[in-house]
Amino acid sequence: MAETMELVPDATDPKTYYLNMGPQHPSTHGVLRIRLHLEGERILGADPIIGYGHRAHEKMAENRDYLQFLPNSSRVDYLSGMIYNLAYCQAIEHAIELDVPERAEVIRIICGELNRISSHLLWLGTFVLDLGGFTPFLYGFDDREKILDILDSITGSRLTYCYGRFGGVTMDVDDEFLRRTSDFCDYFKRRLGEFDELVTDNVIYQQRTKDVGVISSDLIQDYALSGPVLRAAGVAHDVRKTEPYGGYDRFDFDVPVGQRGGDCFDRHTVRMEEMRQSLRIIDQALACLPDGPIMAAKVPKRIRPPAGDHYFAVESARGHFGMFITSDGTDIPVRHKLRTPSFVNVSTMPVVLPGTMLADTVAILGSIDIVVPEIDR
Amino acid sequence: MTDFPQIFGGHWPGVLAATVAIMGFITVNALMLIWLERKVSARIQRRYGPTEVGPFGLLQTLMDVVKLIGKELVTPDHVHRPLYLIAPVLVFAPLLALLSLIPIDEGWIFHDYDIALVLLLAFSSLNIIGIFAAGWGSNNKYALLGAVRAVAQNISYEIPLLLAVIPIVIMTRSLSLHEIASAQAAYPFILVQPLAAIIYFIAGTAETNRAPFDIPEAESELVAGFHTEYSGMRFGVFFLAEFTHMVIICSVATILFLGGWHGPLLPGWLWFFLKVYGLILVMMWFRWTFPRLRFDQLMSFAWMILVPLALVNLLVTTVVLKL
Amino acid sequence: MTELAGRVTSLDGISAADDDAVLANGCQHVYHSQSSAIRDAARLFRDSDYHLEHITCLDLRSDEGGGLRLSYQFNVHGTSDRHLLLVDLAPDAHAPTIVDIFRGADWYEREAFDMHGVVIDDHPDLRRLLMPEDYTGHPLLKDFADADPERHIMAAPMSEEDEGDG
Repeated sequence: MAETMELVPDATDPKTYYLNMGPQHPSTHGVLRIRLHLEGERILGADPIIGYGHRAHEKMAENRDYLQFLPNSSRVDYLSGMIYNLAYCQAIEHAIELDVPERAEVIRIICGELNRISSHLLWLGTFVLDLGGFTPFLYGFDDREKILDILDSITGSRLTYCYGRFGGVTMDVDDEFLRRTSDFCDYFKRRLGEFDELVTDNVIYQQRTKDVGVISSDLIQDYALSGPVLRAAGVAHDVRKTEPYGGYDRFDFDVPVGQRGGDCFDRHTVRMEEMRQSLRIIDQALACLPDGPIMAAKVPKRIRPPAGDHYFAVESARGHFGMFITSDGTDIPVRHKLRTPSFVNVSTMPVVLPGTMLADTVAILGSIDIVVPEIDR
Repeated sequence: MTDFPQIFGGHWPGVLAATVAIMGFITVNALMLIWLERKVSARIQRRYGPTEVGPFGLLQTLMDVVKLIGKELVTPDHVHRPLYLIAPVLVFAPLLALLSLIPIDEGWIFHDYDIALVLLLAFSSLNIIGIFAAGWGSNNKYALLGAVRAVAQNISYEIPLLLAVIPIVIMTRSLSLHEIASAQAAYPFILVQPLAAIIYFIAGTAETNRAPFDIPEAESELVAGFHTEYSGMRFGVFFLAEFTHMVIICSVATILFLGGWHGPLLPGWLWFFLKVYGLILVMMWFRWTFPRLRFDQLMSFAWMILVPLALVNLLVTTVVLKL
Repeated sequence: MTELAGRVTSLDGISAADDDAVLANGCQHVYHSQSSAIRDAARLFRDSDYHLEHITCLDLRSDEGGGLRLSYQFNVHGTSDRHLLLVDLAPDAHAPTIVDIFRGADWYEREAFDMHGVVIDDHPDLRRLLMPEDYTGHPLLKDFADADPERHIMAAPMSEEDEGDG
């Protein structure tokens, strides 16, 4: 079991060596470990070793009822916790066929998109930090802080939200929230232009990202890539479009795709554009927020999805997040599989990394936007 | 002109006094520069920077140094002890000698060597030996990678640096820094040698291993590069050396291209320091604005762009002077 | 039933699941499959430009006649057309690999091995994925009990020698 994979036929070649990048390393964004086989600075092989952040969410789900698992859901991915939290609620609503009031749906979309922007902002900051630019990191955090404050005002938490309930949301939004959100949207539209000037147009930034780490279309089918990585490779696939959930079909937004064949720069432009599209969605949602209840009238006390398999997918900030819940008709699931996008994206690393330079490794890892607890679950 | 040691009769008390003066300058200068760097970066990043200790946080770095000195000097088990221990000294020592060559004002120089420029360039490439010793002696892959990068980078950028300096030497027919600076009483050489000045400054930034050329200690790739295994004041010495190196590169740039101490109204030494710290501020501005280049891009930038440009500049200079 | 579903059910060892007996909320097509037929099915999906969304292992041994079950889920980009293959494994829990057909199956298969002890035949690199290399047991099995729960807790503070300079 402890046998290690030989990355190249001749691992004893004295010109080559192994480098353990992680689990403690500034650029693996947590406790990811990548065993790199190097010749000088050139990478011959890469073997991601995961599990350092394993918290047994799937086992926990099998040992508690559906409601008790709710706080876990946002801990799966702490950077877009809102999306994961709401996704779990929607999955259960989908399984027990519970209808959500329209107001709650729109509030969910506003919060989800705000969370997507905050996640992308953190990505932008840490990605440029990986490339050695320190300043955009703090700019990104500054703006992200504004989103956290807004979400804090209705959810009471800043990172791992537990805002959704089966059938709606916990708290109604007030005029203050709506005003702050629309103020933020106006402000952030201008800020995005500044980010473009500081980061996107920077010559060194472009040199470091263009034609680096191409995750091209031939890997897509092999690995079932999703999210910005998939769209950067030129496939306009977004779960919000292909299987609209939670009322996304009411809103008008575009799915940006990369123009350069799926390199790091493509993933950058796709995420920048996604932030703009999220702002568009929020603008529309704020304009059409209906009055009404925020919780479904009749929510069963005990959640017992019918026996069988239930699959529900959402578009998280990182890609296709699916939940495969197998129920036997009781209040405790038989199996709750979390199909997380970072897991898939990192599993491509043994194919993508070889042939690049050591400095590209951090660029590529940064560009696919990994969240290690989401890989390990 | 009076040499500084001659004030003391040209004997060892003068040498001692000058050494102490230089040491004092290095320390105070580094303390202030680190404070400045933190303030500048904070302002660029919409933060305050240090505010707590002393007025404007001025004493913050002093406290940091006290903390560093108070730390236990940890020597990891797996290092090559002699190399590991001597490396910080090797990095730091040449800088002492270098500072003694810099003329601050008319006649304000420790000793005016005829070949000061050659000495300066020779000594400034010595500290790479210390960096390599640190990386090699640390017996750590990240440190070794950092050291290898540092050596390659410094050797590559030494060439455009030299090529950018030579036109000035040809113009003034002197290798003495004092004479070069004196020759710029009418106008600074940056007006006639703008290209050389830019090449010198870029190569000089690379020589100091600062962003965007900080690949030897690229913290997001190599953890901390060649000084990964150093802590406490040993790390502090590397830090000190980096900031002193900045001063030297900027001082030489001031002398070669910005006219040294020449300037209207203000006293010469003040002009000199204004120019030097102005250049240092530019370096800090670079660091907090740009991402880092990749290793191979850095090398090709030196060899494919800087070296040819410097050669063309040299050729044009000689042709023009001959005419 | 779509044309692709017809081709899948025409494979040896695969039959469409009865809609009344098997509920698969969110999946358009469900099949029961023999473990020997997975590779043929995977190849068929691969040729039809479908991708593998996930492989999930279930421990259904508490059900009557149940054992370990692998669920393979295929989908296509651009629209949504999910095909769910339910593969009930024999008691020895062996399954063939599909890594050579979908490279992305690599980690899912390793996860099934790690968490449920499913032995994936011919997998090029069948190691534990999430648990430490020297771990014994398969945590997501229903009867899993850590034989020695304290083994991963540091027994005593580090000794003087351990704390050395390293």
